[in-house]
Amino acid sequence: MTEFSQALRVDLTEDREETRRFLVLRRFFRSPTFVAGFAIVVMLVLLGTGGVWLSPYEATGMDLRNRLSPPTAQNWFGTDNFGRDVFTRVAAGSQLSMFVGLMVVAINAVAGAAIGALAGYLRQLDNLLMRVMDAFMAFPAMLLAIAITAALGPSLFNVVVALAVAYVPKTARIVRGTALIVREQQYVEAAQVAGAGTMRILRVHVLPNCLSSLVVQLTFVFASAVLAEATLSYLGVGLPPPAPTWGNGISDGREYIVEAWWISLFPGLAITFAVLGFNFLGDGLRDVLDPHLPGESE
Amino acid sequence: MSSPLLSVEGLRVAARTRRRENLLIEDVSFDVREGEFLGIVGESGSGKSMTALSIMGLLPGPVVQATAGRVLLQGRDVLKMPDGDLRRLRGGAIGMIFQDPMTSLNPVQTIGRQIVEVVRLHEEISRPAAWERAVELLREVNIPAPEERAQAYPHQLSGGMRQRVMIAMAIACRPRLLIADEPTTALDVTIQAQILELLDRLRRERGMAVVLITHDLGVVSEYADRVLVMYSGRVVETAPVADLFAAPSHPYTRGLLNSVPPLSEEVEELRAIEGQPPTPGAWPAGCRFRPRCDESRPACARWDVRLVSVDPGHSAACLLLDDKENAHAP
Amino acid sequence: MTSYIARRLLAAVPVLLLVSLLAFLLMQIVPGDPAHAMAGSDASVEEINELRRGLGLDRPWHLRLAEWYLALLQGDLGHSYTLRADVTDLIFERIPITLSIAIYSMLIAVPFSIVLGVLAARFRGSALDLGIMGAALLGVSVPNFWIGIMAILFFSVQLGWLPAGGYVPPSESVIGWLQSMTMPALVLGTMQMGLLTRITRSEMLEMMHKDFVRTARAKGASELRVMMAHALRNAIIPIVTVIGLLFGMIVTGAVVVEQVFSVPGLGRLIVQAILTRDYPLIQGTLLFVASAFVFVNLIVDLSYAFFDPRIRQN
Repeated sequence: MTEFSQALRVDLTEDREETRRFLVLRRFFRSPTFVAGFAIVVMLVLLGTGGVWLSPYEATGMDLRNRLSPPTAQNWFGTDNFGRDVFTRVAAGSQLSMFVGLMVVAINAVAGAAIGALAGYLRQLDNLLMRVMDAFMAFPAMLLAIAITAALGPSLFNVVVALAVAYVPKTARIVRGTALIVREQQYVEAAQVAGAGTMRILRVHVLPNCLSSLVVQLTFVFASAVLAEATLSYLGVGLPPPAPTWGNGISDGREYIVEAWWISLFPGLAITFAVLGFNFLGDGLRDVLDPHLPGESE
Repeated sequence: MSSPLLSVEGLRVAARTRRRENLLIEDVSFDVREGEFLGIVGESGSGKSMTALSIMGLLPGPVVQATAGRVLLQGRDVLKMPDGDLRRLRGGAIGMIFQDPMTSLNPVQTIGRQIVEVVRLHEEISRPAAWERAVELLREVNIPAPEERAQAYPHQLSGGMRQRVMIAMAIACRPRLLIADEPTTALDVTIQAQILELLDRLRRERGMAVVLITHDLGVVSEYADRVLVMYSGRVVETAPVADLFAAPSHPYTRGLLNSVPPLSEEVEELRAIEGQPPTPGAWPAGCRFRPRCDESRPACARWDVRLVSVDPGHSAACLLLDDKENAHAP
Repeated sequence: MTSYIARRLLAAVPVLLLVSLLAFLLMQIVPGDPAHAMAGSDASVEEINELRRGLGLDRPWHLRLAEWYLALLQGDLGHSYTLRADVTDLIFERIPITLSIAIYSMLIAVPFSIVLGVLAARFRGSALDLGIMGAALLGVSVPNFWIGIMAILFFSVQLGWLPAGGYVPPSESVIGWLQSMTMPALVLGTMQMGLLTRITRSEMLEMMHKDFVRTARAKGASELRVMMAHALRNAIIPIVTVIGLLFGMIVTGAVVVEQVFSVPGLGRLIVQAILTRDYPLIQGTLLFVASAFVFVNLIVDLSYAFFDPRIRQN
């Protein structure tokens, strides 16, 4: 194949890609689950930025004269046992949760895609890589994260590392599954015959085809990461107090549950809301990108 | 003449989505007499399978529904039957077999058990007696060693054997009518002939009527008494099989015949009909075959054509047959 | 069939070897001196040195690795310094409690979610479907430790129906035992129910498009029979897979739920081990859980043969 015709072909596919991308975007916003998830995520970002900015309180600012105050006009979600404003802490917690989620997703995207694509495309690496992933997956993901933070010590960085290690194997497995199918396709064979290098084939053919299943998986990883981060905090191996994580908030309120239910209630609602949002988003994305049940939403 | 076993009158089936209604079949009428072998011929999308499913009351509702017409079986309208009566009918008075015997049998039950199920759904009979019956039926459809085969799972049988099992299941309760929806499409050519022979033998022995749905005119010519040709959701020609092959009256039928290699005569010229059949919902105005028809005239686009009698028992829907009488305002 | 079992068993061996290696490596990634971290800041130099010797940290890592595998072969998971007991003994002491909560929760979750999933699939697109699916998504989204605390607030504090926590052994009082287990089991069941209901619905929807389901209708079977004997009977194979996968969720859930309700099970033991930095106990319990997970997956694989004749006869 001449350079020219190859360039032409790439050009044509890119053009089609663009129209396709636009159509997909419109299809997303026709899916009610996607719209619900998108709306929730936007609200969370607004809460994390706007909420903290609007609030006259500091997330860690104590006011011992105003301890355990029920929700009032001044303290919308009440105050905790140190007199800290629960609303401000929930809003600040949203920032932390989103940050942890984003970091874990970013690491998953890079490491999961790389391991999965390599294992799926290069048969000689497949067995080794996947047995190692199997071993990691033999530990329940959350428990693996707990163990790693327990060993490394509780900190923001270690939480991100632990959750990334916990979820990468599953992501890699999903990417590998798609890569296995792609490598049998004729255009990949054609590219091999044309002398394209392994890295080029991975970049141009394998990875783009894994993208939709990867995106769906990453959305669910985000949801799991938010839930897991909260659980780590609750168990005392996440971000150490006084960090305003949602899990810490629930943990703080555990002792005061009888006289000050609001300390635990609001962070819990926030977690549920956030995880629900990302699950909605993932469901919506899957319906559109991977329509394996025809007419699911019709 | 006694009243027919099955009488379809002005049947119309539509797929309804939120925004629009897509017609799948329109104004389909035909009769099936006791013991008759009727062939329904058409390309995919012609509505032949929808017609079959309507007779069974098995249209994939709530999206696809019969919106007009009647399907009278022994005088009762299937379309208006309560669920309980309809269930007694299915597998009882009407048996049905489908295109793909690989996927049409439940993979996790033995074939004996699947036949027993249909027997026990329709008759008060003990499990062992029903099992006896299943073995008997397997023998009747020429399955060797039926006692052992009854214990087998579908994946242990060949495609032809599975279709025989489907037939055994369909005839288990002595139906008056057997509908076979492309029963041989998924099978090897040699097996096809065996299955069709079997259907024909069972029809003669049991005196049941058979409606065979197929896209293969060759198959029809050999077994059917009468043929119904469908195109784009309508009946375009119906005739006794000999008449149809001797004097095809609709250009579409002629086109179909030209594309089938004749069994006896020398092949002069084999010609496929050019173009593709229109998709349901995108039907052209007037005669739906017009865009592919060699003989079309401007008037074909303007007039809706109805079946007109050519000979006794033979009618076709083409403007060329009689412009004055056939032409109705659309 | 025998070769199928043998193949599955063989495939589990390298995974188990790697799993135990990972558990071993856990102590190696502890920054600084694990003995120091375990002993705490107010420990004397002698105490730390003694602990270091006890953990074998004074010897090179490859010797310790060999010893670790040698001990594992004898069923020895090490010794807990904080609880002054063998890890194996501690695990087997706690396992019946966790197991009974797990089984209790599955007895609630599995039948309920299959019924709900089938109903949602049958009445797909209806308000019932929407409600069930909304509840199921909520079930997988809500943090179980928070649900636990809210359940305590509602059922124990407000209504006074169930104890807020603690554990009553069945030998002491069967009623008390059931009461103490009910809330933990319900909380543990919420996430399982959410997941399983969603899976059941989507598998049922897929089955309902299959040709053999149409055949069943053509045979005159009632809608209930079509759904149960044909669609669900075939959907059960993927559903069983998910029930196997629930194991991970149940163990993780047990860690949290036992903490919330102060139930002295395996999960509580793990949390205790982590909070007191009892590394041998962490390693041992994790290895135990992972091996159990591998074992459960093995059973799930074997159960396919029970549900699917196509595998049985291969």
